[in-house]
Amino acid sequence: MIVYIARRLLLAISVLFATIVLTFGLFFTGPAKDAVAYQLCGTKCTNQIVEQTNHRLGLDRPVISQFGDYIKGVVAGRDIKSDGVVTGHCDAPCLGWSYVQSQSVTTMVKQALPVNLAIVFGAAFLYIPLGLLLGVMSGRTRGSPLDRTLVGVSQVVGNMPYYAVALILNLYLIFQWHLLPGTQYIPLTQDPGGWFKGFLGIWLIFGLFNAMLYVRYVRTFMINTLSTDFVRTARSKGISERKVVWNHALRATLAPYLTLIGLDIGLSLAGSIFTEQIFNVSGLGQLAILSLRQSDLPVIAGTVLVGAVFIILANLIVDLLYVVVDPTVKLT
Amino acid sequence: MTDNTTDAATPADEVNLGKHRAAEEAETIVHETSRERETLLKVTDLVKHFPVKEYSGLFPKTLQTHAVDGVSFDLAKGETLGLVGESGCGKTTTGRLVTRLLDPTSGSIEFEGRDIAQLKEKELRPMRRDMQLIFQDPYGSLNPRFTVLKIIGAPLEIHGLVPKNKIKARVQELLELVGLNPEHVNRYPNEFSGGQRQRIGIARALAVEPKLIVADEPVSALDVSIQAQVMNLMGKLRKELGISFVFIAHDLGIVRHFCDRIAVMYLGKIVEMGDREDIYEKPQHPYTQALLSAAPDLNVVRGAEPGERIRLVGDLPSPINPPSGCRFRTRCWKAQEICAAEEPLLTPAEGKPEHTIACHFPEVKSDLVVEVDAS
Amino acid sequence: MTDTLAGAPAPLPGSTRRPPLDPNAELLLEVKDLQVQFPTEDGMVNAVNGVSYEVRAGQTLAIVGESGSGKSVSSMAIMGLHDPKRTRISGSILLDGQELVGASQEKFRSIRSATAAMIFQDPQSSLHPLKKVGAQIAEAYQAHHKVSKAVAAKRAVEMLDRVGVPNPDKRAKQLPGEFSGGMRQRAMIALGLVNDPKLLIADEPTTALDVTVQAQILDLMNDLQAEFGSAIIMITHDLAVVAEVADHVLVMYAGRSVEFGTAPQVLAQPRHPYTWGLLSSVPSLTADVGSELKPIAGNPPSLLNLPSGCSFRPRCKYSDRVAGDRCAAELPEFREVPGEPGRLFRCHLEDPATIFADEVAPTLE
Repeated sequence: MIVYIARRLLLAISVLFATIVLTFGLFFTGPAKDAVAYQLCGTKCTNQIVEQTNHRLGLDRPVISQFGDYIKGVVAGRDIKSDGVVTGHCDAPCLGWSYVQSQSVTTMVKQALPVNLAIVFGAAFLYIPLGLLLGVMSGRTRGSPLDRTLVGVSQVVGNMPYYAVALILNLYLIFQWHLLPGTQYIPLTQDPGGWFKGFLGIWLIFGLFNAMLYVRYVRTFMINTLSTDFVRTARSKGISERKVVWNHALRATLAPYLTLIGLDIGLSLAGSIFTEQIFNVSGLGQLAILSLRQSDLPVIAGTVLVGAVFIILANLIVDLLYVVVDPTVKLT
Repeated sequence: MTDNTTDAATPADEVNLGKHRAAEEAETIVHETSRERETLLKVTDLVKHFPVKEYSGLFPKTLQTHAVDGVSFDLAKGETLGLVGESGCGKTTTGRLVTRLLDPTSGSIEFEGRDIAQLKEKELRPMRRDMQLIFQDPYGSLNPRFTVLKIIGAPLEIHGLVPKNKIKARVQELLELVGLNPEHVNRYPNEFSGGQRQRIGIARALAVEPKLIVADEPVSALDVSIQAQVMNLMGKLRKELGISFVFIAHDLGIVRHFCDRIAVMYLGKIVEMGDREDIYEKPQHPYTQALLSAAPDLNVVRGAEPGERIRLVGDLPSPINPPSGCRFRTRCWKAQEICAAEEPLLTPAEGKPEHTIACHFPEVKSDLVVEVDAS
Repeated sequence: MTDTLAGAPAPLPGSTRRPPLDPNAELLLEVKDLQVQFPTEDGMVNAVNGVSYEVRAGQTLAIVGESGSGKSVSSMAIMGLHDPKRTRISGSILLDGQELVGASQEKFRSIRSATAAMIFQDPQSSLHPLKKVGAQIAEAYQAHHKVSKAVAAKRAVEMLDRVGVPNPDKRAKQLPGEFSGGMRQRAMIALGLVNDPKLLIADEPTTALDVTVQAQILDLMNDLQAEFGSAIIMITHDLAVVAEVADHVLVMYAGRSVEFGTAPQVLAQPRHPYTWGLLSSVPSLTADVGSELKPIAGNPPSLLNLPSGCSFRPRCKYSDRVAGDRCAAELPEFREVPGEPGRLFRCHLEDPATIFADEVAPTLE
């Protein structure tokens, strides 16, 4: 087990390193290498100015040495110099420096991240159990009015783009009928009650939407599992149908369900532009959009890296969880 | 399922078998004695190892599964060799190696004197029509979206055996040959029963007029009464078309019924090989004896005294790390030190060079199968 | 793998011969004119169309038939394993004095595993892949005994030991995936017998196993039957297996019972043309080689649309021995074979014994 964890960790770290190399390569070399200079000089750019700017910021040094700096920044932080003079400091883990805003990318990410964490985990708290519960009930009573309703709703919801559903629910539930408080971001440390109220609408709408999607997965898993031989064996033991469903069948459904959810969480942590936009809170998605608009390459690279880290992390956690849920995979 | 092809009842003689290549060649052989037989296939020291990953340390290790580990046999034109043994013995892998669906790790496969073991896919293609495979699963091995015409006609077209406008006629001829209604050329596999699908599989194999058919458990997915239909069909084809068969099966009764010679496999090796009588009436290898003795016998209930019972204990050892020396020794009641130290080679039985046994202590046992008076 | 020579065991003595039948054994199960139908989009699937048989305490009945003959479906009805919403069951199943057709799920729950247990063909898929073998067995014990987890776990280990699983303590804590096929089927048998049921239904228990493992399992079942005294219904398509284990045999065709009798009667002196056909289809280990097998022509009928009269008529070589077109017009009763009390068959033939002796028996060996 320890060896397994060690191997997974090793794998995660090597993937992470590969991601850093790739991000650096894409955003700071090749055609992108003058982007920072162009952004600084704007309309006054000439080749000469670009060259000067690059030289001033040390961006004309060999790629390897710049990459060394970058890695050092991630690990230990680094100074930002102009013409050899220290003009700022980027604390570890330094994900880059926005020269336009004279700010460390890490600081910007730190401001945005709590929003995404709150959205994703708050909603997951709702949709993981709800999706499972409704999915099991639906699969177990296949063909019943409840099942048909759930399948119908989830089909309608699933076939509409998320932003449309979210927008409509936002308009009706919050603005029109005032069933839910308006959404906004108030830091948790500042006012826990306000934080909760501000997110409540997002959680319910985003959570319900996801729950409806997962209902279908769970339902299918459940229907398949309920017709397996081992469920028949369980039934032939004389245990209650409730135990057959919730203990035997669900047990086999859990592993694939968790995988699905884990990867989904990783992906949505990297930024959920629609949710942020529609519900008027700014997180990583907004940050990415903003920096895209300003061609602020170091920030874009930073958000890409953060997103990658979340996905790698989610994979790692899913792998480890899987061993707990499905002991048969222990050795792979 | 709607048709009522008079399956087994189709009289073979009514069908024009045509000019089958193998038949012409076999005609000269059939009446000769077995000593002068002409070899079609000669397999020498065939080995197939599959890599398996083992995850015990920080980095996975690659180990080898010894699926087939030094198998040698030959097959004469018109002859049928049975490969028997339990799951994991390597009989299916051997069949796939011989037809080159798998690449052997080492060893030679001489087909009509030419070593095909290392040929590349492109060089093999023209030889593919000479050897065909029939699979166990009549459901999985036919493309459900193709009509019978397309399934059987495709090899004809690929190998350019029949002009395009004659393909349908030839397919219908083949359907008739295997006892199916020729009017059903445009039906899809799901419109046929299991036995009929296996007939389609056989017709497809026959389409290219092969010299060798490797049949891998061709009837084990079928019901008893249908099994007999398909076995009879294959027997008829063998007799009339002179096709050689490698017949892979676990059912000892069917193998005895169909095969001239039988090779018994255990954990990747042939442990005993001989003709039908050698294997079924005078088996010498303990594993062959155990296998025969384990087969349940209908005759018990007809009042026959049960034969001697040998029951193997324990499970098959892992083919990743097979036992040293004789592979059967961990389950053998005769095992001595030499069995662990030295691998027994296939050695001819006394006065019977065709009957070979790989055992340090061979011994004839003939009371394993119950004989009963035909009363 | 231990690489020592000590691993070389002596062959075990076989024990597959049946003890003599006790005609006074108590009647345990009586199935009468059982019918099971599944309404589907294609129409009504008549899976079982009239099955009658009885099983006496401590004896083994083999139910023989090909796929679609209804042998599994009819046995699952005893356990109440059909979805009651999607299945129509009629007739009568009297198990240990209780009527099970139309019984509540509550009732079935109290019977399952306690009075009647079932083991299935594929031990690989029949055990929960993610639950420890011992726990799966213990759960069945706890369902019918008010005992602590520890007691149930101990019982599970005990059962594993009795079915010949080596190191039962350690094995009980393993997952089914760590067992070999034969060991898994042993574990299934342990699960089946954990509550000491009066009836054990074994649905093709050895079909997925190799010959030598099959022999081990059949021996084991015989030994355990002697020890536990359970009656066994053995569902199989393999006549040779029947010969080794059965006291009585029921032959099924297209959802109906067509022949019933003791094993020697049915296998050595069969009376129904379908049984004749089955027997001549099988190549035995001693039959003359070179002769053709004698298959039954044609295919089994569709269960959506059974032929009129006798279901076997379209494939039967002997229907012309029956006057008129009675075989097509009239479904034969499941009646006593003329002159042979206690034997039943479903055929219009007046003198099957003579036909068998004169025409069929000589072709069998």
